[in-house]
Order: sequence, then structure tokens, then C-alpha cells
Amino acid sequence: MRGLNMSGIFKLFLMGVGLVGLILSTSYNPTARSIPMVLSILLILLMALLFLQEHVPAVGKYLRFVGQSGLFAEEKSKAGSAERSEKEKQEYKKLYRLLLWLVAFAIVLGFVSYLLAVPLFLLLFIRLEGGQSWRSAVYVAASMGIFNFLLFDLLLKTSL
Amino acid sequence: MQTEILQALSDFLAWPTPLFIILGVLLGTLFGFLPGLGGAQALALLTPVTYGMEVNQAIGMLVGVMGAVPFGGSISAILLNTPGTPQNAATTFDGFPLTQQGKAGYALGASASSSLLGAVFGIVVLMVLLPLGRYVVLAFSYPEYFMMALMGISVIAVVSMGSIWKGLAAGVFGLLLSSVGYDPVTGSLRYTFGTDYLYDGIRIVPALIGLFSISSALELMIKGDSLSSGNKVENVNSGMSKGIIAVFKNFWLFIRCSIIGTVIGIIPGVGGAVSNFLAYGHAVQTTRDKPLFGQGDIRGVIAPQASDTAKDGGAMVPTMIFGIPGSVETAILLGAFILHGLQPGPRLLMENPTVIYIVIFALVFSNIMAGIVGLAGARYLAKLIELPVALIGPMIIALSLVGAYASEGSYHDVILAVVFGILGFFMNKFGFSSVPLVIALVLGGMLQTTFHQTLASTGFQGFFTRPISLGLFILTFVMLIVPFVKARRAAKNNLDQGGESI
Repeated sequence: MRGLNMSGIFKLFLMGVGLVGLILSTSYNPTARSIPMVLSILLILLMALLFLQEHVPAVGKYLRFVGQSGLFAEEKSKAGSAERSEKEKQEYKKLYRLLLWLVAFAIVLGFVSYLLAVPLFLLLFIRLEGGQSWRSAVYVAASMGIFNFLLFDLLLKTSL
Repeated sequence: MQTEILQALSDFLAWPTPLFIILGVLLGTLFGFLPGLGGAQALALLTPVTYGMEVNQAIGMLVGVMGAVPFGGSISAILLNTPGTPQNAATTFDGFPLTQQGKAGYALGASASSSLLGAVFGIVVLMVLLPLGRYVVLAFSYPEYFMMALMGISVIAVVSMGSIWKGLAAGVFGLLLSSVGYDPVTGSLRYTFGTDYLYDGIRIVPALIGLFSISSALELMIKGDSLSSGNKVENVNSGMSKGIIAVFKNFWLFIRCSIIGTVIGIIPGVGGAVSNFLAYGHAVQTTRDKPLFGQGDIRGVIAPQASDTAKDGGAMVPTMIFGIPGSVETAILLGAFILHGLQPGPRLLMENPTVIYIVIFALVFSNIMAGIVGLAGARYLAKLIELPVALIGPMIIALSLVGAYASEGSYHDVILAVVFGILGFFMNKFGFSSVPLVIALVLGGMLQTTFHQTLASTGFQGFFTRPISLGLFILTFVMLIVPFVKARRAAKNNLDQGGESI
């Protein structure tokens, strides 16, 4: 088996979702469980085939049909594997930081009014993560705060 | 029918509906123009915003966005050699060379008129097919709707831009997600994990916001520093009227490409990128002076743009008649319909036909306005592209999460949007298209209900003894095996050629 990368982990995750769906469906009445059970089994099978085809070469060579592209699929350019893996590492580092920002913003929204949370998030993100000037950060944060107030509170009268 | 059309026209013209359409056009042009964004993101962001609006205003605004995106995307394709959306990729081939020759206005004028007329063509086809739709709908029963939904999801996987198996997996995953909540037949709760938020299932609006808006913002922020490819633009306004007339000088090409776009639009899930390339390829193959293509031939702008907008009218055919979305944008539009208490599908056609005519009027009006706005503002839009992603990305994230919260005032929607945003990002990264998942999420309820209704009324044989249902089943089966047959033939041909050369 090739070293397990994020793609493989994602396939295993979806397989896990299918497995959970299958196990839970056994506790429902026969009518309610019929379709979810079939779908869960299908998902597990499809993900297993995809995982084996891409990550287990010994089995994958018999599963070439699983790599069949759609009718309008494009050929993707393939960079060298060394430069691809270095680029991917940098991308994943950036992704994890962005996800932290996203989750933090979502949490703050739960405790503080959006009129405060949005400008605060934009101010800090644009300056600290985006590396832009304080002036740009303040300008965007203030503009979005005013825009949100005008749109949601005044125009749509949505009580948030 | 005449009464319904007049009623729809009256509702369409009632103030402030035209204002909301214009707002939608402005946003659609902007989102279409900015690379990395597009109609799906704009619609996903706007849907919760329309919650407090009247139905006509909401539909007008959303359709305004849909109508404006193709032309908006062509502006950046022509001026900056960067397609605003994937469905404008082929427009760069001849659009940008024209800009380099100082004929940017000429190209933009041709794009504006072919986009508008292409949209009109698609709408004419829709209006011709709509009355027939009522008869088709009356001939359909539970097995037919089940097979139609199954075919819709399967076809999307087959015609997708990536792996069929990944497309099918995404569709199955979407169907499984649609099982969350009350079972439509027995009323039992499934996959709610003890939380009453999930009793009514996965809410479509925050899911769409996450899948399209948040995931693309994450991709944008990871990929680049700015949206610009470094090109500066000059001479934008001269030659526009000559460009507008160019469509009429190549009228038969325009008609053929509009037909291509309409047909592609009718097939669920195929999308504008495919029609864009097919139309361009057709133009290249059917004209005699080929060497000009790729060097600034105006037909290389007319062909893809006509098919892009004709596709929208085509996509409305399965959406309005059957409630089966013909594209990602119409899938989100259906989500908006549900948010406003409209049940898409045959009931909408029979009980609320004025809504459908409002969609048609809004599509025509939005294409006209998009042409005017786009041509007037192209020069200024070109400057926006120099904005760093570090400013645009977080703005989209902020709007997305507030929009998710605003749709029903529930914080759980924010969490759902974040979860789907992360899911959508990884799905796109690893080659699983979000389109089958979205369409399966929208159709899943109908699929399950009609399955059980068929079993209850006619038994399992009902799927195979009714001719339309059987025909749809066979069509689905054929669509699923065609790529494998083609691949097998290609492999055999390669083998034979290799044997001959030895």
C-alpha cells in the first residue's frame, strides 16, 4: 500500500460515514431503513473500490475501470512529484490556519453580535493572516460592518 | 395561459421587483467577472438574504444574478485573458487576442449581443416546451418521477468533469445526507443524533453556502495573492456597436451554437463549461477560414457566449417541468423556491405558473441589463481584479456565515455552513464534484417518497412495466455504460494500432 495521504484519509472518512449510516440504519423500522441501508452499503463499496484503486497498487491494477473519467473530463497537468508534495505541504499549512480562523469566527458569532464579530474578524484576519496594512484592514472591516447593518438590520429587518 | 402571462408581467413590473432584479444583475456581473467566483457562489450567498422578501422580488433578484453571470465572466475573459467562470474559458481564445489588437470594445459588444440573443433563444425553447410539459407531467406518476430523479443524479456523475465513480459516490453521499430527519413515509427519525435541529433534515441553504461559497473562498485564499494575471487593459469602449452587429453577420453560427447550449442545458448537471467548449469547437470545425481562430476571430467570441446563455433557458426546462435541476445554479434556485414555500416540480407548473413566467421575464430583463451594465462598467471592473485575495476571501467568508445565520436566525445553520464548507473544499480537492451531492440533496426526498409510493401502489414491477419508467431506466443504464464502452473501444484501437506498427 502506498503511504496514506490526505486523499486516502478522505476516502476512509467517507467509508466511515457509510459504515455509521449502515449501523444506525439497523435500528430503524424496515421501511425507514430500506433506502438508507442500501445507500450506506453503496457508499462503502464505492469508497472501498476508489481507495483500493488509488492506494493499493497490487489490487488497483485489476480495478482500472474505477479510474474511468466522465464524458467531458479534462486531463490535469502533472507536476513533478517532489515539487507537488512540497507545494501541497505549504497549501495544507495554509489551509489549517484558514480553518482555525473560520472556526474561531463561527464561535465568536455565537457569543457576540454579528455587527461586532464581522468587523473584528475582518480586521484581524486581513492584517494578521493576509499581511495587508492596518489601513486596508480598517477600511474593509468598517465598510463590511456598515454594509451588514444596512442590509440585514435596516433593509431586510432581520433580527440577528 | 394568456391570463397567467399577463398576471406574471404585472407582478414582474410591480415596484420594487425591477429594482431587485437590477441589484441581482449588478451582483451577478461582479461575481461573474471576478475569477474564482461565479453564479453558484452569488446565489448561495444571496438566498438567505432573500428570506424577508416577497417571492417575486426574491426570484427576480436570484434570476437576475443567473442571467448576468455569463456576460460578466466574458468581460474578464476578453479583457484579462482570465475567464471569470469556467463557462467562459473558451471565450479567452479569441476574446483576449482581440483585446491585444486594440479591439476590446468590438469583442465586448459581440459578447453582449450574443449573450442576450442566446438567452432569448433558450427562453423561446423553454416557452415552447412548457405547455407540452403539462401533458408530460400528467403522464408521469410515482415510478416515472423516481426514475427521472435517479437518471438526473446518474447522468450528472457520467457527464461530470472528473471520475464517474467519484461522481456517483458524491451522488450516493448526497442521497444518504437527504435521509437525515423525518422519514417521509413512516415519520420515524433518522440520523438526528438526538438534536432537534436535524428533525427537518439538512437545511439546503446553509449547506449550499458552505459547499459553494465558503469552499471557494478557502480555495481562492490558498491559491493566490491576487485575481489578476498581470494584464493591463486599454481601448475598452471603441468598436462596441460594430461588435453588437457582428452577431447578425454570423447569424446561422449563432443559431447553431444556441441550440448546442440549450440542449446541454436540458441535460441535468452538465454545465456551461461543456457547452462553452462544444460551441467553440463547432465554430472552428464548421468555418472555412480556420487560421483566424485563436488569433482574434469574432466568431470565437460569439459561439461560446451564445451557448452559455442559451444553456440557462435549457436548464430551466427540467427544473420547471419536473423539479429536477438542470444545473448547479438551478439547483440553488430550487433551494430558494423551497425557502419561500414553493414546491418545485410539476405542482409548481400546475398551481403556480405565474412564478415560472416571472422567471422567464427576469431572465430576459437581466440579460439586457447585464449587457448595458457590463459594457458601461467594463473599464472599471478591470481595476477590481487587482484587489488582493486577502481582502476578497475573508469578505466572502464573513458574508457567508452571516448569510447562513440570517436565513432562519439559527446558530446551528452557521455550524452546518462551516461543516459543508470544509467538506466541499476537500471534495473539490480530491476530485469529488459537489454538483452530484447538491442535486442528490435536493432530489433525495422526492426519490425516497416516490420509491415507497410506487411500492405501495404498483409494487416493484411498477418501475419496469410502465413504458416511460422503463424507458428512463434503460436510458440511465445506457448513459452509465457509454463511457466504459468508449474507453474499451479506444483501448482496443490503440492495441490494434500498436500491433500494426510492429
